[in-house]
Amino acid sequence: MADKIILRFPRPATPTAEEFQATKSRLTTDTEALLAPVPGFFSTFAEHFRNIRAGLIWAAILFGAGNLHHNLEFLFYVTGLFLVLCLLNLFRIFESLDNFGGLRDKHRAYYRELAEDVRASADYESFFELREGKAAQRLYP
Amino acid sequence: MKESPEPLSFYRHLGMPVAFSGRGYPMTVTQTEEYLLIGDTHPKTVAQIEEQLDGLPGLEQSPRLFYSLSLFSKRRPLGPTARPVMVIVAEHGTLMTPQGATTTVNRPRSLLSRIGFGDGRPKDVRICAYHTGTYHNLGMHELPEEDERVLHFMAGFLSKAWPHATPIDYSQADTRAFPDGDANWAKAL
Repeated sequence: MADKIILRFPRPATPTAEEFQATKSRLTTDTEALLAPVPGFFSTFAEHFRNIRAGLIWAAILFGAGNLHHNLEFLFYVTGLFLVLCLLNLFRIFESLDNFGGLRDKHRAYYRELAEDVRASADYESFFELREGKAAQRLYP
Repeated sequence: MKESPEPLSFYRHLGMPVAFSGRGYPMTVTQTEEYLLIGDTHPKTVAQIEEQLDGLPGLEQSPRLFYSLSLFSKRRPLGPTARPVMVIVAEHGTLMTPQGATTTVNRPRSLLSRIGFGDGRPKDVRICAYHTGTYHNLGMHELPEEDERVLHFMAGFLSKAWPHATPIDYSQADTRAFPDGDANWAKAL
């Protein structure tokens, strides 16, 4: 059976001084301001939905070609193959729904921690050192 | 002009090798008065380590890195959050000249190496340096043949990449090599 889709959260670079100031002022009015941009379901699995759409288009083309002449009836079976490929893609998405939840959690955790660090830091230098120190701890074995 | 460059930001250079991530012999740690030098063989890049943490080893496209030398400044606190002020790396590269192209190739192998003992050693490599938000290509150079000389050879590029940096003083240096990358260096420091 198809493998699960591993969803990755690309960790962004440490915010610049301007971004830090903007975030700090946003967080004074709304403490949950950074939690908004969670990746959506359709954008996360966009590649797989595109595969399904391409499969359906090819299936329709072949089915249409199969109708042209009775010697081309074998194309109906090829249509079936494309439909099975579409189903496999769909199963992969269903299989990976818990990974999608994991991605949302990773995303939320990252931005929650970022908001805490922004609030805890008085100036940009201490914020930068804190974030970069955490990145180093994450990367060293 | 500053005497020592600022520590590097890992996530601004996803292709930068990370200290202590190398494998195999030698993993070298040198202490001088000003710097702590960590030499790695076949280090991993930031992107590769990120990928491993995500559970996807070996898919990320990355340059072939042979050796890296990470310089930590002793003026800043050393610890698990310390970042290098400069990383010098020997990577696979090509130099186009009017006489033709020079590409990284392995040295002729010894008899033991040929029947499976030891690795092939690269001959000409591209030396690059990361410091203060920039990435310098320092050109193609021939690596020394002995493992012991590789560290000094790469440390020699510090003055080329950053002419105002404090030079490395080897007179009081303490160098140790570790046969594996299993963090035995931490117990020895």
